[in-house]
Amino acid sequence: MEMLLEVAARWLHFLAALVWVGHNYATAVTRSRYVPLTAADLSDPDSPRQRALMQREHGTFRYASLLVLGSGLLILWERGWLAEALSLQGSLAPLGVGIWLAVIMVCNLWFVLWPHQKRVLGFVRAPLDERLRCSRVTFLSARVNTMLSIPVLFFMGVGAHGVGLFS
Amino acid sequence: MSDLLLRVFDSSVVTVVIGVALTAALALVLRVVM
Repeated sequence: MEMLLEVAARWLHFLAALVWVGHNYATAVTRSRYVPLTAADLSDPDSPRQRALMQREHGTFRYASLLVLGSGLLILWERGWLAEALSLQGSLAPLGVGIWLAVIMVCNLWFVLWPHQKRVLGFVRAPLDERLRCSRVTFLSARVNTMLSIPVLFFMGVGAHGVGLFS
Repeated sequence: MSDLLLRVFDSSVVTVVIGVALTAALALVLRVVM
């Protein structure tokens, strides 16, 4: 039963990570250069960019981030490794570095990106120039997460399969 | 100034390069510490 729980949690961990980080990578490929929003994009709810923004905001990737973190912590807790990994002890230190970077990513997503995105999309009322400023913040916040995902994936892989690199 | 620095993220290629550099730096620190 414990084995089944761990396998299920690991499966969920991978699937949710692909949804979350895959969203960031897709954006990095489809919008490789920053194209600022304009007042026209935001003032017309039927503008192509406004519609594209609304279609992208469906919450899936935000909730996927919580599943990634939760399932990862569950696996470590089930193995009795959680405290050692979080305190960067012994052979679990590489994994711990990855976890802390992932925690920063989740906080960035929920406490920086999402509050600003709500203004951009008009879920929270704000003047047009404030919405334009917020669109820049959401872009940078997403790019920071894309950047951080690279070491996170490295330390997740190394933590499971390459601890010998560090000893 | 900070806005100028943040412009490095305008390019996804530079974003990836910074991510790889950060990975190398953290791995190096970890190897030294462990």
